[in-house]
Amino acid sequence: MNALPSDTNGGPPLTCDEARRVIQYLTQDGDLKDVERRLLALHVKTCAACKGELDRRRHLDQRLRKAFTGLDTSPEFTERVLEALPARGEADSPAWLRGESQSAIDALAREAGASSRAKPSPRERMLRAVRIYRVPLGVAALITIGVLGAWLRHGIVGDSTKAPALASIEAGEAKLIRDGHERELPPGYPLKEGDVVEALAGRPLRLALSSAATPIATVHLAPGAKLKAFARQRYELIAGDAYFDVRKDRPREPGENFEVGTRHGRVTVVGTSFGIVLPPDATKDVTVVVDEGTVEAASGGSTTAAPLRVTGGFEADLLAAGGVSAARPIAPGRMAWHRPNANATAIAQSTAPSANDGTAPPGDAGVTGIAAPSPPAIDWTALENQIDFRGRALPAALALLAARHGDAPELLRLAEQAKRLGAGAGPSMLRVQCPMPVERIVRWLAREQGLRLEAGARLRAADPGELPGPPEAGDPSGTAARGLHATLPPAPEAIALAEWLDEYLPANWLAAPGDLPPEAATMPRPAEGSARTLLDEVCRDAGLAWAWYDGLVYVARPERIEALTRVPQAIDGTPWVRLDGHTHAPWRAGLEFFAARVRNDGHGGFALQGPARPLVAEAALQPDSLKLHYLCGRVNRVRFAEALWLLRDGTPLATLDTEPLNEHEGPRLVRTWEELAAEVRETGRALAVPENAKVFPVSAFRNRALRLGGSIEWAARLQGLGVHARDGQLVVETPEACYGAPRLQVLRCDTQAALLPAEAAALPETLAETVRVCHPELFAGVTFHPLKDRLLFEGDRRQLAAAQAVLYALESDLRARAAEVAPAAFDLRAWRPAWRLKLEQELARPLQAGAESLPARSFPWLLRSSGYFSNLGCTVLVDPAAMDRLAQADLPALDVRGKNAGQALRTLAEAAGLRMILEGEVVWLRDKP
Amino acid sequence: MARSDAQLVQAALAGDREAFGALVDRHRRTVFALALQRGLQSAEAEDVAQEVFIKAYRSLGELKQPEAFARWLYGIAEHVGADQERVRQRRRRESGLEAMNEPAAPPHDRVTQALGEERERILRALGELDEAKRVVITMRYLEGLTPKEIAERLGEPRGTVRSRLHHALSYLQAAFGTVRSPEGPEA
Repeated sequence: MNALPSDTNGGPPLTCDEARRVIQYLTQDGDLKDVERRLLALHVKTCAACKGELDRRRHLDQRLRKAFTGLDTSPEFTERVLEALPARGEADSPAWLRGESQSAIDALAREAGASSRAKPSPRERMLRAVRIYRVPLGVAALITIGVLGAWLRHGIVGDSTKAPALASIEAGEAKLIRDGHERELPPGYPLKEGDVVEALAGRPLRLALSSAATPIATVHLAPGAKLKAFARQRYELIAGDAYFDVRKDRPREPGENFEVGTRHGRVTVVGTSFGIVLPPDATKDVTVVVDEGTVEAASGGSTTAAPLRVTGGFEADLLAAGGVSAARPIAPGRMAWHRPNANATAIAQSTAPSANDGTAPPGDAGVTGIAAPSPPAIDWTALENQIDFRGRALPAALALLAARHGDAPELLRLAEQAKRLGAGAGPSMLRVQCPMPVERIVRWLAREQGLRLEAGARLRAADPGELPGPPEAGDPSGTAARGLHATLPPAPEAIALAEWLDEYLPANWLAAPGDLPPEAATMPRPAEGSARTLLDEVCRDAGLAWAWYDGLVYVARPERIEALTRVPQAIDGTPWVRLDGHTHAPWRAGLEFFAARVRNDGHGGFALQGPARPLVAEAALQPDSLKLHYLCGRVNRVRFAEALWLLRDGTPLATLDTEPLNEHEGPRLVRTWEELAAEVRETGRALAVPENAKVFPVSAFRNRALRLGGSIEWAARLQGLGVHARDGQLVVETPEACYGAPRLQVLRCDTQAALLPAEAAALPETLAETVRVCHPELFAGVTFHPLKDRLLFEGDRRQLAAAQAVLYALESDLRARAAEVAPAAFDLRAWRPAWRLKLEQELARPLQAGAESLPARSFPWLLRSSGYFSNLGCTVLVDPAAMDRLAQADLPALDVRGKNAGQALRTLAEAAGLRMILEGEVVWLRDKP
Repeated sequence: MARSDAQLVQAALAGDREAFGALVDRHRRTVFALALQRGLQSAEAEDVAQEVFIKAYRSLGELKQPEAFARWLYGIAEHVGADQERVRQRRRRESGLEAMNEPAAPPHDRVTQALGEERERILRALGELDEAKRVVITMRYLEGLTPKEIAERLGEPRGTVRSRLHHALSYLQAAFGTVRSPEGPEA
């Protein structure tokens, strides 16, 4: 600490500044050196202000210490936490549970606004294990069908007198209906006989059931589904669909089974994962969907059909007419509200080739009994992590994976297939160090060897030139790719690319064989930054490219990446969109991907390069729409469904196709609309002008900076008109026809606030002021209403576009600043968009020829022909009527000594009775009101 | 000599649950105190704290820098605490439902009874600070750590810790500037 001057033995006393520093250190460190204490004591004897400060700090210190004294958890807290941790053996690594990763946790935390997870009581928390477990496989379940009423009255083992289960909401929202009264389901609530739990609309309900301090099952109810309780392990599904994860190790009395009744029968299980689809129409069949394990389905009542064996990956119907249907593969999309990889079940379809032959198990003709355990079926959606396949041939890699999944027969079969196919292109280079689904791992292992993994868990050789397949299958939200936004710590100056990818990249990666340079390369400077940015640089330096493809970073020579990601159309013909310059995805998946990113990150942008021609500079995804920044600066918003439809058909999204207009510079002088129309015709468009459109006076429109599109808009505005696209051509007509009537407009500035949290509270109001400064005429008389993270005003589409342009310019600048290594302080109040700064810079130029006075000539001559303002690089527009009037007479000579071009222009305007306004990116000289 | 956070993390990843228990013991008070600063009752704060450690255990393998465990853990605490606060606020808004047979809250919350109003006010004021400042204040006054020790635990520069402490204390002093405490003179 250097709070004091070096001479502390009888040296000069402390100054007040030094004393305050010492006081600061006292409160931070809790102690001072002897000499510091002495000098401070001396100082405060004679300085009341510092004494007061010392007393206040000491007092605050005491209050804080007291507030924290004795603050601690209950004594058994640590033990409780350890008990609640995943048990050994339920995961290969104690640190991992399936489906949970830090990125997912972060995503859940961000989406917590929609979360309504009820908190169970502390006791329930203590007793409850970690949430969803996939029950170890190989356990047969029993399904019996019986008369519902009789079962409810008597059950298989008679009336149960077991204690009710405690129900705890883990996700979603629910209400409890008891005796006709409804209420919110409290946490850790003991369900009584007759209680009905209803999942509220919006999202599925996940309910944990426990008893005697031990979990029983996790029940997933679709929105609107209702489950009635009878006992801790007896329920009735009275409406909607439900999915049950029943614990094998749950507490039960002899003969007590977990039973779920439906209108056509009941399901009794020992331990498995299955779902029940209960159609609202009571005459329809009930479908049982089995994901894991093997079940026997038998019909009770009058039917004498033999029980049917149904294995994981298959479903069967409990027929309304009695009996059980033949088993069939689980229909794609079945119970997608709970089974998010419903379409991936196609892989599992052939996992039990002999399961569904309809034969009863030998020696068992009854409706009860448990079949012999069958080999575990692989869960293709299970997440694997920390597994190194490098150096292994494909058969050995698959065998390794199989061993981690209880020797899953599907994987062993694939290993045999791989041997038969002679897969020996080379050892694998894959090391999984971030969670990755099993299916994706197998797909990549196969891809490395030029093979394809097909539905039915089969390998085949890929055809030359065959498309590699959908890149983002199974991860539309892109949460895995978000690791690439992480900021990485500095890397050594020289490190081999492979080593850098291994040690620093927070994502799985793979390289094309032979493409990675083995030698150490110099890391780019700065050697820290976001993973994505660094990846771009290191690959570029090495002459390589990369793509986020099918769940990992794939590094290869540029032509390989191009081939990998060039997918003009998906296999089903859906048009594809290019995302981020690296990834292709079907339109819908792409929009969903970025919708999730916008929700999670508050930002998402990509260039539309689909079937429609590139029309926009940037498309930012909103939660329910696309916000399009057109090349001319106009902004539009299109709903998702509309966007998808338009993009698929190739129809331009924009009502104003401005791309060609933006490529052309606007004319220097605009005299007539015909001249503008001729320029527009060059671009292939047509410009329709009202018949009574006025002619521009000479030199009223002096263009130095506007593009053709902006020129058209300003030409219209100068004559009190607007411009929009209609029926494929540009039409100039009244502002109301072009921009609509004023209505409530909402500008969301939460993205900008997140980028500048220190100014978040003041941002809406400051933004309103900035918009007014940039567009004083356009927003004259408009009242802004700043709210917490948005700005409201009443205006038309033109005003909205102008305000949005300012907002997005701010965002762009803030993002650029955030990417800097050492960002400077950001003065929000002084900030202006780049085009406004450019305008002000132009006006700050010196007056041409260093003139000290402007001669007594006419206004038009002085402005245009004199050459005094010829070096101004900005557009200066004059109200046409004013120009007409001012052309008739000369102005007196004007003194412009020491003035720059802008000041001289203002002097000229005032002499002409005009006011000078900086409006957008132009200087507008207008008659005074 | 006590093992460092990094050593305990590595041991926990290797399957040593006791090592994770040691991490829980070491950080539970701070995590609990951070939850209390969200305005939660002690039982709820314990729930939150438990959830924080369970989430941390699940994600332990993703922690790239085991020596930054404390900072990472407190970040999880921030998220989980914020979630819980949102749930509480929404329930308060929707509290028109009939409260039938609702499990009664403990007649005397253990911590708040002991703390009293003064301390509750201080915790609430701490809740107004941003996460970084709350963490350093909590580590300073709950665990009695010096800025040097705080910096080491969080893996951050000492100057940063001092700066945060300074700003946090200045804010608190201003917040309590006109409030008379039960024990002392007007601050």
